[in-house]
Amino acid sequence: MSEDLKIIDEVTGSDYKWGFVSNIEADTAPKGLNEDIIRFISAKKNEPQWMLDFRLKAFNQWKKMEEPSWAHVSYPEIDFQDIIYYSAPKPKKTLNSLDELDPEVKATFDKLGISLEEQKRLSGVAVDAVIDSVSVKTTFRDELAKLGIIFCSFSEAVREHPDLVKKYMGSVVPYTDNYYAALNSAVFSDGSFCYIPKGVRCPMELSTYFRINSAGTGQFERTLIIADEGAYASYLEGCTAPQRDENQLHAAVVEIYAHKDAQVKYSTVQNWYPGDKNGKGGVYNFVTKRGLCAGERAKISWTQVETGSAITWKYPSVILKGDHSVGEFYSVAVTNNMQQADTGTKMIHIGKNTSSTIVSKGISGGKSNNSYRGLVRIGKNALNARNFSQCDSLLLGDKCGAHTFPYIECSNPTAKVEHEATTSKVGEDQIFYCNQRGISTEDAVGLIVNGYCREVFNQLPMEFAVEAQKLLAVSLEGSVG
Amino acid sequence: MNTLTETISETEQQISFENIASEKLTPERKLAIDTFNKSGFPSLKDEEWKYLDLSVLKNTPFNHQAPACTKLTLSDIEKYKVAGADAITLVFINGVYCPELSSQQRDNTFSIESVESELAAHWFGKLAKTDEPFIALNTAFHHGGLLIHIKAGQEVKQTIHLLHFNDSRQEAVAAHPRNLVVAEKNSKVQLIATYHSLNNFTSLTNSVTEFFVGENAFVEYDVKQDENEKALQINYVYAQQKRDSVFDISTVTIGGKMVRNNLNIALTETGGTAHLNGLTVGGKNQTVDNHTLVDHASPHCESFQLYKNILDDNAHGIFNGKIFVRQDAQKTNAFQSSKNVLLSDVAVMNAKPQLEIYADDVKCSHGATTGQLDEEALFYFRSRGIGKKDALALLNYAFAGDVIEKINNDALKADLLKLLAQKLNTEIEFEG
Repeated sequence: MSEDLKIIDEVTGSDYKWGFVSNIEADTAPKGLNEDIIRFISAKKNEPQWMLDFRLKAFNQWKKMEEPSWAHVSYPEIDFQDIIYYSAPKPKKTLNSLDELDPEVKATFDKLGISLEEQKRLSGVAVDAVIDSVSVKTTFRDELAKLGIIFCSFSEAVREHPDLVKKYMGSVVPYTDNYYAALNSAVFSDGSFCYIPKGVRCPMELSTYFRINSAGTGQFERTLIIADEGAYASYLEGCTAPQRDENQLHAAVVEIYAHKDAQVKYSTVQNWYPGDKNGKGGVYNFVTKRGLCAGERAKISWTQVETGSAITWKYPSVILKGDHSVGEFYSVAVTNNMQQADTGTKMIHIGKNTSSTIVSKGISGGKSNNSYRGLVRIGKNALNARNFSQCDSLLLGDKCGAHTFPYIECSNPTAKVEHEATTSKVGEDQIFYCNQRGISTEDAVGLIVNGYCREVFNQLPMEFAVEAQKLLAVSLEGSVG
Repeated sequence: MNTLTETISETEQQISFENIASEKLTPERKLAIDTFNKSGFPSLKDEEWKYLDLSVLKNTPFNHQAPACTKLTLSDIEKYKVAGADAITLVFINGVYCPELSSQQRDNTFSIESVESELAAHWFGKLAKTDEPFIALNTAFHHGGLLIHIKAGQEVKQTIHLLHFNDSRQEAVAAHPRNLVVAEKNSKVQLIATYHSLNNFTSLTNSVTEFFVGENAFVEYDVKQDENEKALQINYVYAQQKRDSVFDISTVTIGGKMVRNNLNIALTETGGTAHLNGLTVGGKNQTVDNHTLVDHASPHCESFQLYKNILDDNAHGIFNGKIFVRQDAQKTNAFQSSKNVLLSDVAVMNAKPQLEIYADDVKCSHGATTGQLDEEALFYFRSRGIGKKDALALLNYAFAGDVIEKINNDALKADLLKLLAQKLNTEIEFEG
């Protein structure tokens, strides 16, 4: 038993392995938030007037709103005037090949194991790498362009495809949506833009790596993915961040717009700095992610593996508007030490014969708190809607908490809604079984937890599944040392 | 806007509480009114009151100090005695105990005293705190409630039936029944509470019952809510359980325009067991809201919750259940299940089953389903010559039966099955 305790202690006490700071000269705005800062950001990015107007409208809305407090998390009040809202790495000239990349940026990626060359050469993943808000390099652009796929940074899209941006930006997550979405709409620095034209199946996984780099910088990306009729895209987002002492605010917005028969799969691995064992530092991750199945038979699938951040506040949602549309949410959330996570999904069924699946696996250790919060709403006209939700929690210590707050609102008698949740710890008999067969307790815990998350990992694209399993193994095996 | 709030403020101006026998609670009552006036009524924005619309309640000017015993006679209440022939019936009208209508036979296994007696002060308000607005109201306006005190080691052989009437024939009455049940060590008792109303005006029954279940004691409490279409009800039940005790509660809601039930069970010592069952059969414009909180504060306790809703017409069902497991409560087993059937296109069900768990060595689960009755089962019946209406009724009976079966009183069970058949509009006689 004491062996078990030791292992669990080690498991839950491991330090963040991937923290480091790269010294890239940043072009930084002064701290604080006011109209001038917004004009500064907009001017820096050479934005047209309509974009600036959108930002200012959002800013005025944000000033009227209150910070939400309903989530099961606690943190000191955020001083929004003490944050730098814009920071771009230098040099900013457009690069033609990887060789022109700032050597230090490249080294940073190498340390993270995101070797651009290797990925480019071996895995065929097009990487739009974002360091502190500005796209440094977009690869495979030309190949995608041949198919008519637009995959570029958000600011580029604003300049080159203003019609598309104007039409879709804010259509899924309006700037009035919530406090952090409004903040993001006002100050967003950059992000990714993706448009898949009619009937095109994107031949490769689209991928973006976000990093928070300069100290005291909020990262406010905005991602917009549009899949036109019959299109298909799979989008990967992965994150690691350097170790920092002060809390960093991250308020992103992701919008997905799926037309008739379109399919979008969005996968995330999030491993931002979670703070140290005493809860000092760490990233505040307040993200609004939402997809709209606008047309018939559209499908949006969210998969997330959340291991980092001091506080996670994130509900990737799907609005099932088109008849026969499908929404999916697969999540693994691991919290350790003093981390707090309040995450889940919303499935809004509006169209007929819509269906949604929710599988959420929470693992909490140390003194952390891990909550699932989800909404399933079946509208009056959502005939034959179908939902299945499963939320399991695993507790790895006696000082952590695991919570489930599902909201089920059903207004149609032909709908079938099922929800089930369980909470338990790693079974002693399972560990004993493994021990008996010569598997050490730490390996057994790793094995059991990996098996427990398998259902979600299976949903991840190949490249990511490997990384996610490694990540889980690292946070669990940190123990083994 | 808040007519009731205004009434309360007015009453406070002319505070006299003439109906109240004991003066010593008066400072508490004043405090309760102050507390209520500070907080006001809960709103939809309040997480615990999400989905429940209280506007009718807020906008009706109720008389909070209605005269106690009205013109009801023994023969009037005869048909409401559903707990069996040998049950001890205690009648409450507008929240006030009416001895002349109640059973006189007593044995020495338990005693009955005013909830305002010196003895009752040991327990009164220890669980039901006035920071809940409706408990504050009850604390301010209750009078004539009872302490039912079951002595150590005694088993009360007969069922104790608490028969509640709200008489709103002359004016809109807000009744505030306030009762206290103390089951001492090794005792056993079954209580039944039924709620009825007589309405020409809107009525409000705001009931608070506190249970103290002693070591190794067994308490069963079955509630039948059958008020009529103009009746609003807020019902709080608190239970505190000692070592190895058992507390079983079944709540069956058939009538009432709006019913809100709050169950708060605290398992404070090891080995406690709690069963919470609920059945709602709603139609017309009924809204029924069941809230439960099971607080596992000690190791080796168990709790089981089963809540079912059958909703027809414009009915709106709400279930909000929470299992709370504290850090010390290792080896907890806690289960919760919410199953709901929607029979009409406009019925709405909102469920929010929650787990909040701070101990690791536990087995906790919850499940919630919402849908309609099985088409194939319906087809099976119809292919054997049973009409659609009866087939549906039989399926609903089977669905509801799970909860009714949990009640250990044949007379009440039979009565509930009769009501169920009525509500489902079928001639079939169900058998228990």
